[in-house]
Amino acid sequence: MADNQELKAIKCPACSGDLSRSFKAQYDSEEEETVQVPVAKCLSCGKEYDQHTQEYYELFADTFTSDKDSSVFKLGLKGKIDGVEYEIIGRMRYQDEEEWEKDTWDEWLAISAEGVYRYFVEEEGKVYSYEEYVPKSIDMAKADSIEFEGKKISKSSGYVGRIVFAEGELPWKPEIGEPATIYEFKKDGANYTIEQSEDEVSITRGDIIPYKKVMDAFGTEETKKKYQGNVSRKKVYYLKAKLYAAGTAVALCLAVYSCLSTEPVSGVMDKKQVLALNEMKFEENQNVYFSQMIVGPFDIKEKDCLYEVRVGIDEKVQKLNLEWQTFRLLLIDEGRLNKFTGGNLTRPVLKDLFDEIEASPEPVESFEVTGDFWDEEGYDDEGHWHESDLSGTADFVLDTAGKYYAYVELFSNKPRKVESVYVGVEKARSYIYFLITSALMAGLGYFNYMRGKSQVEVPFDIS
Amino acid sequence: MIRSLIVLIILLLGSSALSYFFIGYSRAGVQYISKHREMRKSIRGGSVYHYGGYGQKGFRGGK
Repeated sequence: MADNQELKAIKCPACSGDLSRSFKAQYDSEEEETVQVPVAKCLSCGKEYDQHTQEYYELFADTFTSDKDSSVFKLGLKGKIDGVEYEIIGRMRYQDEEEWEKDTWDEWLAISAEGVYRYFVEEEGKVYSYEEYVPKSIDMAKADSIEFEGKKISKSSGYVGRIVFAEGELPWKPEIGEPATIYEFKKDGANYTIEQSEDEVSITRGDIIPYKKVMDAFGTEETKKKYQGNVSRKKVYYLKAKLYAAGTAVALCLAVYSCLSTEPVSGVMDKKQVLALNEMKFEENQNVYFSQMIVGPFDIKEKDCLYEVRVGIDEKVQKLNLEWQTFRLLLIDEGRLNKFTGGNLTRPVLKDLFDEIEASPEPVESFEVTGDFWDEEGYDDEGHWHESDLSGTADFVLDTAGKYYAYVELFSNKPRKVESVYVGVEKARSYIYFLITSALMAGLGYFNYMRGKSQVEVPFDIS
Repeated sequence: MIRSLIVLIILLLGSSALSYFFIGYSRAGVQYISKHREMRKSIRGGSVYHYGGYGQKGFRGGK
């Protein structure tokens, strides 16, 4: 039937001129741009026929059938589903009228040994099995809805399918481009379809059937093998995704454990000596206030461990209000401090040492941390903002256990209480590598999950 | 599948090793002192070693 149609010259109904394939500009609301869509155009009168006309499908039918052999079903094939043997006797291919790109599905007609008809609807690798159904009551006369066994189905939910290909024995003689309005709905857990064409209404009821069942019934040895391969690949991708998900969880747990298992070094702020308080200095073309203090000694009991030192502002003592303060902290081994001071840790000796520390060829300290605290406000296009940073931290690996001092040097643009600055030291664990690993594994897991999701089981190219 | 398992084990062992050996972290103590001693030796006579204090790091209030 379709072959005969192809041989006919397709004429313009308005002037009997020849129709040819052409394009017209059309605004695509999804793409948000003007696109070129195919139309059938009369070479004589120039009339255009779009996808809502039969002429369009007569001219473009072959563009919707390029993959018509990519199916497990074939005319004449016999196979058993749920113990019932069926023979495939006919097929119709529909195209969604709303789409000008290919959007087709096949309706395969099968007959059982007992003479019962069944439709296998195949779309994008899924197969639905439908049988004809006679409803107890149906009223399609209303303009906006269908009354189906007491259920109201809005007519606006329907869509139009156009026949683009037909073969075999079918209950009626379909024509290329023939439209059918289709309503799909669920009732009492079952799927129903009403197909309304110009002359008749067909009602079917059914459900999706696992593709494996279809393959077992109608697949060839080759397609079954290919199908099994695809199923295995999909399973492997999902298994890999699960494996990486487990790895992500393990790495995250290790990161959280490492992050939370810190041990503070006690007594850091127990002893404090202020060496200078808000001494005015002229630096970098401005007056700044300079303070010095030394805290400790405190006991760092373990060597070759990771420690975190934190210097911050205690706003309970003094608020940082629209000002800045910079700090430099030197971690100093008690033995080295004694060596440089001759064991005399009085204020004048310590002050002399630290005032001249930059000229010393030998480092006094075991580690140095610098940073700044600030409090600012302003206006931007979102309105008023007020931000501050009241602490600074640094991680370091200490190779020698023992008693240590922390010398802190402070510069600020306003006089500040030196008591408002605190120093804390705690033994820490590295967690950053576990975080990076968990992110990497989450990415790999997601990648494999998506690969599994996109892996088609169907042993054909589907589009 | 085995390749994924190997990747997973390598990642977990790798991150554990990097954490255990504190790769990428600053070293304090003997290493710091010897490194800074060498740095100061390379500074020409008459100048002083400059610590990263005020004016060097840059602070938002001072910009």
